[in-house]
Amino acid sequence: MKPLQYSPVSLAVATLLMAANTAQAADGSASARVGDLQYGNALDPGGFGAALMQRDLLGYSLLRAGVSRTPTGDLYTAPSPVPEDQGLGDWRYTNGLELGYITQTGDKDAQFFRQYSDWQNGFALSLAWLDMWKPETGDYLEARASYLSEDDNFLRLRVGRYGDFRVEAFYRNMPHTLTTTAFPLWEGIGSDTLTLPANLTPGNSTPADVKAASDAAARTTLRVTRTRAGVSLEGDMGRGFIGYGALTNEQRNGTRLWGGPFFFNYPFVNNGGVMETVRPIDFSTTDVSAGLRRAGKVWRFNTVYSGSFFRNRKTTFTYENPFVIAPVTGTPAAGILTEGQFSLDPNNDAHNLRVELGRTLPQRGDLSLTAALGTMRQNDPIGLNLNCAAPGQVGISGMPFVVNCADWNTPASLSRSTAQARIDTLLLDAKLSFHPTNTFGWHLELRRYDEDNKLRYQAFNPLTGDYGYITLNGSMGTVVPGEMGLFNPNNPAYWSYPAKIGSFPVGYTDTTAELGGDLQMGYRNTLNVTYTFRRYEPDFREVEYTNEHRIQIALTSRQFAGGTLRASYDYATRNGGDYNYFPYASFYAQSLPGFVMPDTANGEASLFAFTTDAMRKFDLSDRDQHKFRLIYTLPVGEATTLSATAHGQYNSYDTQIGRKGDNATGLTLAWDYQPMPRLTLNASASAAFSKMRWANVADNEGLVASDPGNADPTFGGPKYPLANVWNESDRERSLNANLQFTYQWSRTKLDGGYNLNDSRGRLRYDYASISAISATQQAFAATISQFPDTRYRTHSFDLGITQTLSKQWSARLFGRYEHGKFADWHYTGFDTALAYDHRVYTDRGPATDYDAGLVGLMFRYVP
Amino acid sequence: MKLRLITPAAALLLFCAGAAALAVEVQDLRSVPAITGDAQAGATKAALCVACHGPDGHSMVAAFPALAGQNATYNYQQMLQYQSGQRVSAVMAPFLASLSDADLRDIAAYFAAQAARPANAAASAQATETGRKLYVDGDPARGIPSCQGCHGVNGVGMQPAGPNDRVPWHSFPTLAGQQGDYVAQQLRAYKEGARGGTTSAVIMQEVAKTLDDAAMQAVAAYIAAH
Repeated sequence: MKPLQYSPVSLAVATLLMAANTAQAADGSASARVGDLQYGNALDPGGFGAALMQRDLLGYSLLRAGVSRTPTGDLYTAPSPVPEDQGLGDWRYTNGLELGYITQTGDKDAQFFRQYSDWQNGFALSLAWLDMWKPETGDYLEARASYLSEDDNFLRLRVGRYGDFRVEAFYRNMPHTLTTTAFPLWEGIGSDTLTLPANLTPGNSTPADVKAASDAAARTTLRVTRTRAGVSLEGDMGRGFIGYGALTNEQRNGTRLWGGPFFFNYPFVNNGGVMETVRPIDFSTTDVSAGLRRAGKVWRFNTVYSGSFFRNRKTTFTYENPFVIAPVTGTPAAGILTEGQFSLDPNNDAHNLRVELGRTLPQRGDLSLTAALGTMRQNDPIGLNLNCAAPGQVGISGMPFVVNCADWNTPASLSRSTAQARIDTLLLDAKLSFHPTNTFGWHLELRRYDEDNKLRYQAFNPLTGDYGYITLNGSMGTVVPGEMGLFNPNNPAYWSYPAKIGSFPVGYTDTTAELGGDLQMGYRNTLNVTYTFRRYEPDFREVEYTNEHRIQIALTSRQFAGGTLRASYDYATRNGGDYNYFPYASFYAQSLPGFVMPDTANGEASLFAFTTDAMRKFDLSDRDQHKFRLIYTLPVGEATTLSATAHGQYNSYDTQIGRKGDNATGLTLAWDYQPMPRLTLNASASAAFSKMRWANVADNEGLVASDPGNADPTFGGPKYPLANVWNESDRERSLNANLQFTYQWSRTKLDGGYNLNDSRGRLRYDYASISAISATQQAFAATISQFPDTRYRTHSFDLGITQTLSKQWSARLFGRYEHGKFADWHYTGFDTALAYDHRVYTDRGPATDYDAGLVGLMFRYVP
Repeated sequence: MKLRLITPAAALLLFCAGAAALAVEVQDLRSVPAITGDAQAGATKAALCVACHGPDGHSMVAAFPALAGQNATYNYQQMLQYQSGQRVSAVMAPFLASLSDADLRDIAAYFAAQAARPANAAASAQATETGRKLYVDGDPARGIPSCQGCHGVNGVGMQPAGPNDRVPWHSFPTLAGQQGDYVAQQLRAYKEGARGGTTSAVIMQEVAKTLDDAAMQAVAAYIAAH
């Protein structure tokens, strides 16, 4: 009977009050209909102030001593005492706040240190809360707020009455730092128009000028902030019906890295243009839902409408090109290419109406039927081919491959002015289940999902009679004769060009049937066996269908060597119809009347093969799959729980060219030790491994000149010779180790932890002969053996001490130190220069070696 | 630099200041073993007790608790608490001051061996349906738990549900045959914080917070009638 130090402030944990508080905590967080499920920040991930709360040294129960476990055997951590509530009329309430000061040290701008946390030097409000409830009526009000910075905060309000209604409103900002080492060449970052600095001339600057400007560019951070706000409500409508609805809006604002292509550069020194630009993010997504449900003793009913409306305030993006783009013919360009453009994410709407009906049946049976109709629409103006001004021209002077800006910079140059894109969906699902005995049950489910893509767009310019879309801002056609990207049956310069003239209206039908049974063997073992058949029928793809047969066996045992074992194994085999390696001809100009097949070397007219007939795309190729998962939890004595989780997935694809195999394996070991409520030790280690293998065959570049129209797709033939085969594998390895401890004296809590993240990527390749490498890169390829590994490793240490100062006040002094290393050959050399010939990049990449930390002092006040 | 040093120093001072005692010692009764004693010897040693608690522990005065049939462990713990001063009573403390641990065990064993007093007609007449409901079901709408969840059907106490039942039921008092006034008086003491200091008392303090005077009287009357 050792006396325990205990404060009366924290003694509000009687059995029934615990139940009441549990109900309070669970009132809305479990509902996906509410805008956000989790509210928190880097200081307080759980959103309830756990760091500054002391633990209840009496443990989980006032009725019995010792630790408590879940039915599986995991240890429950001793809870924190519930703050003593106070009265206000008929209401009870608790409130409080946690605020303090944070200061950073070291490389605080390291990207990985602040990727999802907007740490700032200064005051921070970790949490402020007010909980009110009226026991007589079940009315309640709950408010939570946090403010670490302008971009990292939340405010949430819930009001309602248990069993009657609930209303929730929230507002929050979440940061995502993408890079802290951006050195953009352009001015106007964040806008939809990037302009070159005054010392560069669009379309006519030298690489040296560009490099000088890049070297002088200022460092900036690229980030996106998500601002979410919403309201949701749910209420009893009478006669057992419950109505619910929600309205949420998310604004995403910021910048991110983006491209900027003006033809190749590597094979064309001092020509082309490869640019890493910065595009704006200015999105708004509004989600609405409204529904009605009723659950009776026999019948269940639910119907809900949900809609999503995406708006982009910046739907076009232009950037100035500093480089000279010159024809390979040596003749002058018809015009100077000064500006590139993108169409950015279009506005779009989605609607879905879902109806669910369920009924209980004899033999503890249940029937549930679901039908859902949806449609997604996008009807933004279609981007123009060119934005150069009349009377300008693009192309190669003196050759028939010149286009007039006036013919392509107007909506009149489009076959229609808006996208008119539409995808309709239909879902039908029926599930029947019975449990005729206490030990046996079975179910049957049939499901059909259809996605009908109604978009049919043909790129045709009524002003010129051309089909297609001008490629890479006109740079292709400016550099290489005939590669403007257009087809015209009346123009000999274009009538043999296989331009892409339409979008692929990709849709599919997915039909599944599942039959399963579960058998309870004794009191502690359950066996589940499920067979699933899936037929996938894509539109306009390489196969008309694939069939997959899957069998899953799952065992749950609560008497496996003293612990709980959950194990499952899946085997699935997929095969499909005849494979057409190139089913897209109807979306290319060769399908149009007037297309003239180019002559080949042997005098026959034919069009070059687009790919080899041995290619199998991984989502449609024949595949065997094995999957397993093992989870074992072992309670050891009173205070320890050991657990192990292993999982794996192994896919092999029946193909010579394409993805040949991929697999992923993971293992986690955990040790949890809690000999008494005041002490907890947790350690875990995990490893994850994945590998992907694929093969391809390079075109025989020797045919470009001698037989450019070679149409033979045969793997091993003249166009795709075996000597050009290459293989590649990508291995990823991720290690994680974690150690956490907490020790609490009567009024002082010490906690800390260590975390290691270590991931490595290893790319390996081989090739049958050097001819598998493009001729322009063969010399370089001969100088290297393999790419260096990519590596990301961080060590982070946390230490905190929390002291109860008085009945109302407690304080926490804490620190975090992080050491990180990063290596990625993609960024090689960027620490000294971002501009090379006709290429200019923006991001130097994450810090290769950094040390960063922070110290904070927070106070908690509970009146 | 000075400011950098001042901040942690101030924090340490605050922490030290926080170490000042505000804590209340709570005696953990959740692991107390069931006691044994010599009931026959206890009969002799309890001679003084019966003056107030009645012959064989059947109290004749409404304000004094009946001890007949009381769990020995509970009774023993209460006497220890009076001895230590944790439970304050100007009356009980002098009587218990000179008793040894063995005496306390024997006395507790003696009273536990006596049969609880059956309800009398007068007490039964005062019992109401409200009291019965509170004792048996509690009142979830008001946050009141049922009494029988810990004190057993008709107040005769609980038995372990099985070998894995770690709740020390033997340390909870039986209520059968208890004086109604005494029950009400103790509920008020829990509610006002006058009685506490143990893990069991913490539970009762939280229960008592949910009871108003009428509910206390109703449940006390029901207990007195059983």
